[in-house]
Amino acid sequence: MHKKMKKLIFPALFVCAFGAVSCDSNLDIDQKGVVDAGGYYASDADADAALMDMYGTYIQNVAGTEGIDNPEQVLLNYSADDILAGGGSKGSHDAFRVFDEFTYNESNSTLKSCYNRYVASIYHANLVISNLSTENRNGTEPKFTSAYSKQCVEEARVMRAYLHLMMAAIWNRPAILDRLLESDEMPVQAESQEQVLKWVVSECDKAINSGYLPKRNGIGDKDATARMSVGFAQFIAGKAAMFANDPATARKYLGDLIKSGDYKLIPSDEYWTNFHIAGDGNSEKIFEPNYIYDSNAGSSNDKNSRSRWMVANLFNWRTQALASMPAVCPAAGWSGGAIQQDFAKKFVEHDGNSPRRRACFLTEEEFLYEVEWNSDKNDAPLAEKETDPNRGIKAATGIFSHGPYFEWKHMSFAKAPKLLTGGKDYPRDNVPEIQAGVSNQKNFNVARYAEALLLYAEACIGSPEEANGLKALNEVQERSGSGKISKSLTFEDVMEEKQYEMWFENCRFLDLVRWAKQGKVNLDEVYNKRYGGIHTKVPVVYDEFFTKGAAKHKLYVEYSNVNYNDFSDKYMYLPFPLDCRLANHFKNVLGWESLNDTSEEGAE
Amino acid sequence: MWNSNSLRKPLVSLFLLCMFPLGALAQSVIKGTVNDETGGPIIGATVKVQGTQKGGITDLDGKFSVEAASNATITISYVGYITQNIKVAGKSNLTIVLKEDNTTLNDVVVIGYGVQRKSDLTGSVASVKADDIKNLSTADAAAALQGKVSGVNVLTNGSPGSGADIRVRGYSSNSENISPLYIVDGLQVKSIQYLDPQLIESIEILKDAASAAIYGAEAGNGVVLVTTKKGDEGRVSVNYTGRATLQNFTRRPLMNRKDFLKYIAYEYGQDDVDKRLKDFDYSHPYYDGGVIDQDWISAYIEPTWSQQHTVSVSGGNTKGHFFTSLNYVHQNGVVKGDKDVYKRITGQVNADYNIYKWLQVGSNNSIEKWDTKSVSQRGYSSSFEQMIQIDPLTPVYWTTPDEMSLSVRTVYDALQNGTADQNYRLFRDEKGWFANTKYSELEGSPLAKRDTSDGTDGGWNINGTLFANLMPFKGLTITSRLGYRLNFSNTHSYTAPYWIGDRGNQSNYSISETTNTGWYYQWENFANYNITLAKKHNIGAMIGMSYRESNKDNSSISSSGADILQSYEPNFRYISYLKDDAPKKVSNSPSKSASVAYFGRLTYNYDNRYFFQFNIRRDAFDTSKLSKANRWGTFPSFSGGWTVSKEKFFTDLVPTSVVSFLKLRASWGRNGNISVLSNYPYTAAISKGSTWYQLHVDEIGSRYGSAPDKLANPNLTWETSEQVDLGLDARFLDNRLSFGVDYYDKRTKDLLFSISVPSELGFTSVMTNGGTVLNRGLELELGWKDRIGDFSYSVNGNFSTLKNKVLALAKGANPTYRTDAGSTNFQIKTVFEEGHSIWHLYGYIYEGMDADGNPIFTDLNGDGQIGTDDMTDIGRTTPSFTYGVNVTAAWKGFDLLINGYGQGGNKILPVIHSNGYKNGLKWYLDNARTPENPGGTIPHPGVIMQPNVPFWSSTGNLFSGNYFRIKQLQLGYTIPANITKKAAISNLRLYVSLDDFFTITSYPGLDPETASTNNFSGAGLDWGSYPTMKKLILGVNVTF
Repeated sequence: MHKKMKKLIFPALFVCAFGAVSCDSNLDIDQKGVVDAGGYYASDADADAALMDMYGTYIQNVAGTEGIDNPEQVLLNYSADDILAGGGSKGSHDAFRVFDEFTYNESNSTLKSCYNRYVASIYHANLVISNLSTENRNGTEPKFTSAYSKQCVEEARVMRAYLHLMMAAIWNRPAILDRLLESDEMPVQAESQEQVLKWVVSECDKAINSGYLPKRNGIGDKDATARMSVGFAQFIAGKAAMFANDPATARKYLGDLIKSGDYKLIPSDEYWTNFHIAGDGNSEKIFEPNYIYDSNAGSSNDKNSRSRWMVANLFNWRTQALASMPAVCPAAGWSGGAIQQDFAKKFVEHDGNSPRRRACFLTEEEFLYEVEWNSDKNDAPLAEKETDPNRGIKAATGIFSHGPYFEWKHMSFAKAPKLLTGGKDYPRDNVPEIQAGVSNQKNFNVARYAEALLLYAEACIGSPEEANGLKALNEVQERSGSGKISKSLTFEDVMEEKQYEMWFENCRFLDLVRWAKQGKVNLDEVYNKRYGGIHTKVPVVYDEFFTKGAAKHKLYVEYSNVNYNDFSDKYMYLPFPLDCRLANHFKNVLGWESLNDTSEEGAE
Repeated sequence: MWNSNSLRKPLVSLFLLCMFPLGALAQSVIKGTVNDETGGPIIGATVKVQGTQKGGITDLDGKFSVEAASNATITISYVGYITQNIKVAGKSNLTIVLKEDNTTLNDVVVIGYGVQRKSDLTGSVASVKADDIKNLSTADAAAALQGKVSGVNVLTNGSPGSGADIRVRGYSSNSENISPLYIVDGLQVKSIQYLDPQLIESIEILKDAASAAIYGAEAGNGVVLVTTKKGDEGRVSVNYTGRATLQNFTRRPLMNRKDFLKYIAYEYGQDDVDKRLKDFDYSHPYYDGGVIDQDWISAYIEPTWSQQHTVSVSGGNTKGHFFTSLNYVHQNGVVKGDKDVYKRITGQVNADYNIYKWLQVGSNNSIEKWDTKSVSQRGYSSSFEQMIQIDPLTPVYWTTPDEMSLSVRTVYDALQNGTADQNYRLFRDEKGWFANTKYSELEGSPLAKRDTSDGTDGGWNINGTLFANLMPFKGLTITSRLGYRLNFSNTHSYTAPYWIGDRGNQSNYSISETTNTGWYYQWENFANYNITLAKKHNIGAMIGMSYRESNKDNSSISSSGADILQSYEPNFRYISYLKDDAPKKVSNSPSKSASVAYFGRLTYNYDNRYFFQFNIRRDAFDTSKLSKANRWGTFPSFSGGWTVSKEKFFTDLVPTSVVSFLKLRASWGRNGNISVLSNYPYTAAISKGSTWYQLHVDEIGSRYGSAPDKLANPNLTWETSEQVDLGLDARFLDNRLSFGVDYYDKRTKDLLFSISVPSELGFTSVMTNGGTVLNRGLELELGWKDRIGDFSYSVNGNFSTLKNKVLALAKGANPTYRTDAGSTNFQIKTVFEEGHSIWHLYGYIYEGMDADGNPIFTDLNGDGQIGTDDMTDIGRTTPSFTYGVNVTAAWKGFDLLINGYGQGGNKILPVIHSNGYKNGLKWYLDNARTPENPGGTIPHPGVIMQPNVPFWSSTGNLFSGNYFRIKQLQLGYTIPANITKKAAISNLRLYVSLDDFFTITSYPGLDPETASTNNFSGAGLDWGSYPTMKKLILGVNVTF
C-alpha cells in the first residue's frame, strides 16, 4: 500500500471510530432485580407479593430487633411497674433503664425506632390497600382485582388497624393513615385518640364483614394464627373499644370471638409453651408472627434482626455471675429483664406453685436447688446441694438490678427444664443456636385468647353479660393453677388476674394508663408510693455462700440508688420522636406540649 | 466499533519490538570522554551523530567511540544534565564536560491527553519525578507521595496490603468517594497501590480545576497521572534493587498491672477490686514471682522481617524503547503469626516502536498477582480493640483447665466428656490455652480472635494500554489508545465452631468462597496539533473522545450450619465438599457501567510570555447513575499565564542571575464527582423478593414480598466543583533557589443529601442535590540546591494550608450525624453541618472540675443541665495544614536522604475507654485528679467510669492530631566504579534506612497518623487502628 494512502486510511479509521462510539445507546443499562413500578400490582402473584411484603416488613420491624432490644417490648414493658432493666451495672442497659426510671426524652433512639417501625409497617399495609382497591389518593380503580386481591386488602386492613391501635395507645394522637401518601403529601394528625380508636373498630368491622378475611378453622388450625384473621380483627376491635372506654362495643366483638369456638386456653401444665416453640400456633394463639426458620430465605443479617437473637441473650440469666452454667441456659446471658421482686413475692403469694407462676419465674429455692447446674450434685440430697460450689451466684458483685427471683418466661431454653416439662420432650427454643447466626425462633407474642377473655370479662363488669364475663375470668383463673376462682366479677379481680396472666406481654403499662384515665387506678400510688417507690432504688442480689463465706447458699439483696424521675401524667404517653416530629409537624399532648415549639437546636 | 485490521500492523510491529536488536553499533573513529563538572566520568551518556543513525553510550569510565565524519556534529545527552552539541572539527579525541541541569523548567509534564513544558503551564500541576521517589521503601505509589508536594494529603494504614489513598486540596464532599481520579499511562485505574515507585517515571497531580477539567465529571477531587518508565536510548541496562525490612511497634501507651489496679480501684473501689482479685487472681507459673502482669502489646505483636526485590531491564534506540521489570513484595505484619501478610508480584512490560517516521505503536502492561491476609482492627470486638482493652491481670495462657473461666471450663469439660453440643475449638498453642479475661465481658484474647477463622484473599490484576501515534504531517499527532483492566480474585474463608468465652463463640461451621471477575476497557482517540505562526504565535489544539465500559461478574457461595462438610480435615474445607443438605447461599448478578466523553483543548502563547488555555469536556454516564434526561454534563475551564521574567523591562531591571524566572498564573474551571452516584439512585422501582414470610407454622417454605425500593428523585445529578487558582513560580540565583505559591478557592456544590421526609411516606428520607463545601488554601514550595566542591545537596520544603467549611446544606437538609463508634457507647459524633468543617467532631466542651472534682461542661443552652443539646463543634477531623521536608546530600560515594512529613490542626478523640475491668491509655491514669495526683486535669476515674458520660465525648478527651514524622532517614554508599566494574557492575549502592522511626507528637495513643484519618465515617475517632510500624531497612541497588 502506498505510504500516502496509509496516511489517509488511519485518520479515516479514527473518524469512523469516533462516530461509532458516539452512539449513546450503550449507556442504557437495565436495572436488575426490580420491576417497573408502573405495571405492578396487576395479578394475584403481585397481590401475594405485596401481602408477603407486609408480613415480612412487620416481622422485621415491629416484631424484630434493633440491637439488643425489640423497641415495642422495651417501651411497653419497662415502663410497667413489675419489670426492671437488669444488666451488668448501671450503664449497661441504659436503653431499657430510661423507661424504668422515666428519664427518656424525645431524642431517645428506641422511641424513634418504635415509631418508625409502626409507620413503616402501616405503609406496607397501605401498599396493598391503595394499589388493590380504590382507597387511594384519587379513588383510582385498581389495575386488577380478584377474590384473592380482595382477601389481601382485608388482611392489610386488619394489620393496619392493629398498628393504629398500638400507636394511639402509645402516642395518643398519631395520624390516621387510611391510604398511601404520595411524596408531596404530609400526614394529618388525628384530632383525638378516640377518633383513631373508633376508626380502628370500624376498619376491623369492615374486614370482618367483607367475607374475604381468612377465618380460623377450629382450634387445631395453626396457620390461621400466623396471619390476619377474623378472630384477630374481633380481638383488635374489642381491645380498641376498651381503650375508647366503650365496653358495649368491646363485648360485641370479643363475645363473637369467644362464641366462634375457634380458640381455647391450653392446659395448665402447658401454659409455659405459650412462650416457647412447643406452643407455636396453639389453640390459644390469636395472632403471632411466624418465626419458623427457613435456611433458604433472606440474608443472615435479615434473620438475625427478625429473630431477635440478642433479645434472646438479654432474657437469659447473667451466667457470667453464676457458679456454673445452668443446663437451661443456651448461652451466656445478661439478665436484662428482671421481675420486680415485690411483685414477684405477691405473685408467689397469689399463685403458689402454679404452673403459670413457675413458667414465669423461679423462687430462690427453685433456682438454687431445682435447676440443673453444671455440677455432679444435681441428683444429690439437698444438704449437699446447699454447699455445692457449682451453683448459686458466685460473683462478688452479685447480679445488678435483680432480686432473688429468676424470670424465664421469655428465656430461650437450651433444653426445656424438667421443672416445666415434667420430663416430657419438647422442641428446643434455641435451634440451631443462640449466640450468633440464626437463632431464637420463639414467636413474638401479639395476641392470645387469655387476653381476649380478660378484656371481655372487664367489658362485662356491670353489664347484662356479667355472668359471661365471670365465666371468662374463671376460665383464665382455672387454667392458671393458682387455685383462686372469683365468685363475682370485680374490676380488682380482673386487674389482678391480668397482671399475673399477662406479665411481660406488653399489656400492663397500657392498661394502667387506660385505667388511670378512667379513674380506676392511681398511678402516683402505683409508681411513686407502692413498695416505697419501685423506681427509686436498684436491688442487687448476692449469694452469701460466696460473698461472705457462709456455710450454705443463701441469697440476700442490697440496694443502690438510681437516677429517676417520679412518675407524672406526662409519662402516660410518649412524646413523638424528635426527628419524626420535625418532619411531620405533629403536636404532642398531655405534658409533652412544651416540646412542640422546639426546633432541632433547642430540643431537650 | 472495532476494526481489527486497522491495528494489525502496529500489533505485529509491537510483537517484533520485543526482539529488535540493540547495541549492534559501528566501529569507532572518534573517541571521547564525558565528565561532569567535578571531573567524574558520566556513565551511560548517550552519544549521537547528527543526521545519521549512528551513536553509542559512554562506558564505565565515561568513554565512548563513534564512527563519524570529521565535520560531523555529535550530541551528548544524559538525564539531569544539559545536552551538548559538539562539532568534531577534525579532532579524534574529545573531552566533554556536561553541566548539570539546574532548571527543571524544560521538563515536560503530562497534562492529560498531552504533554506540556513545565514552563508553559497555566494551571497548578505538581510533578514528582523518578529521582524523587526512587529510594523510598514503600511498595505503594500513592504512599510515595507523602510529603513530596503541597496540597496533597496521603492517608495510610499500617496494616500490610492496605493501600494508601490521596486527598487533593482537601475534603470536598459529604460522601466518602473523594479520592482523585487515577490514570496510569492513560488508563483509568481504581488505585495505584500495585505500582512500585521504582517503576514510575513521573507522577503528575492536576490540582486545580483548569488542569483537571479535561477529565470532566470525574475530576472534582483532582487527577493523579502516573507515567511508568519506558527505557532510555542507549545500551541495555539491568537493575536490581533488594531490601529487607525489620518492622516493629512504635509505642506502648497502655497500663501495666500496677497502673491498672490503681485505675480500676479508682473506678470501682478497692473493695470491689479485692473481691475480683480474690475470685480470679492466682499465682501463674509464667510470670515473675507468679504475679500476672501482662503487656498485651507484647503478647500480640512481634518484630517481623519483610522483603522486597525488583529486577528491571530496559533499553532503547532511535527506533524504540522497552522497559521490563519484575517486582516482588512480601510483607509480614507485626501481629504474631502469619495472619497479616501481603504478597505481591508485579511484572511490567512497556515498549514502543517507530514503524515509520509518522507511525509509532506501543504498549504498557502490568500483571499483578496479590495475596493478603489481615486481622481485624478499628472496630467493635476487633483483635486490636481486644489487645488494647484486655486487662493486664489476665495471663496469655492457661496452663491447666483449673485456670479456665466458667464458660470455657464448661465447654472444656463437655468436650472431655463427649457431651459437648459442638466440636468447639479452644484456641491454644504449645504453651497453653489462650486465656480469656474473667474480669470483664470482653470477647477474648486477641490471639484467639486472630485464630477464629482462616481465609485467603488474592487475585490477579492485568492492566495495560495499546496505542498508536499517527503523525501524518508536522505538528499533528493522532493517538488511538485502547486501555484495559482485567481482574480476577478469589476470597475463601472457613470458620469452625470455637469457644473463646461467653461472648466470643460460634457453634456453626461456616465456609464461603467469592469469585470476582471484572473487565474494563476504554477506547480513546484524540488528536493534538501544534503550530507556530510568525515565530511568536504558538498555537495548540487537541480534540478527542473517550468510551469507557466496566463490567463485573462476581459470584459467591457460602454455607453455615451445625454440620455442613463431608469432613473437616483441611483438604475438605472447600465448597465442593459440602453435604447435599447443607444450606447454601449463592449470589451472582453481573453489572456494567459505561460512559462517553468528548473533549478538547486550545492553547495559545505569544512569544513564550503570555499563555492562555481553554479546556472543555462533555461527559455522559449510563442509566445506573443518571436518568437519560440528565446524563450529559459540560465542564469548561480557562487559564492564563504571564512569564514576567521574559519581559524586556524586567530583564533590564533585574539580572537573570538574581531572578532567573518569574511567572504568574490564574485559572478557573469546573469539574464533577460522579462516583457519588450508583445503583439507579434517581428512580424508584419494585424491589422483588426483598422480604419474606412463612404462612405455615409447621412447614418451612417462604413466600417472597416485593415493594418500592425508595422515593424517587429523577433530578439527581453529580457533585460539581468550581475552583479558582492563582499561582506564582519563581527561581532565583541561577535557578538554585526555587519558589512556588498557589492560592486556590474551591467550591463543591450539588452534594448528595438525604433529606428527611415524614416516615409516614414509607421512607424516612429521599436523596437530593444541594449544599456547598468550601476548600481554600495556600500552597508554598521552596527549594534550594547547590554544590560545594564534592558536596552537593538540596533542601525542598512544602507547606499547605487548608480551610474547609460547609457553606450550605441542601434545602431542607438537616445536619448529618454519624456515630461510627456507636457500639462503644460514647456520645461523640461526627457531623456535617453548615458553618463548620466537614465531619467535625461533635461533643462537649470540658471546662475543668469543680471543687468536688466533678467535671464542668459548657452549658451552651443555659438550661442548667448538661445534655445532648450542649454538644457542639469541638474540632476538625481533617488537617488544616500539612508540610513536607525533603533533604538530599551527597559527598563522594555517600548519599543522605531525609524525608519528613507533618500535619496539624486536626483533633483525635480516642474511643477505646470502656466500662468494666478493661485496659486503656495510661494517660488517663497519669492525668486523673486523685488523692495521689491532686493536680490532675481530668476527673477521678470513678466519676467518669461509663463511656457514655459527657467527659469521654468532650474536649477533656480530645487530643491534638499534630505530628511530624521522619518518614525516611536513609544513608547510602555507592561503591567506587573502579572496584565494581571488575564485576561488570556499573553501579552498586548499599544503604540503610530508618523509616517512620522518629515522630514528634503529643498524642498519647498508638499512632497519630493512622489513628483516624484513613476513615470516612469515623474520622477523628481512634478505635484501635493498625499503627504505622517503625522500620529498619537494609537495601542494595545494583546496575549492570
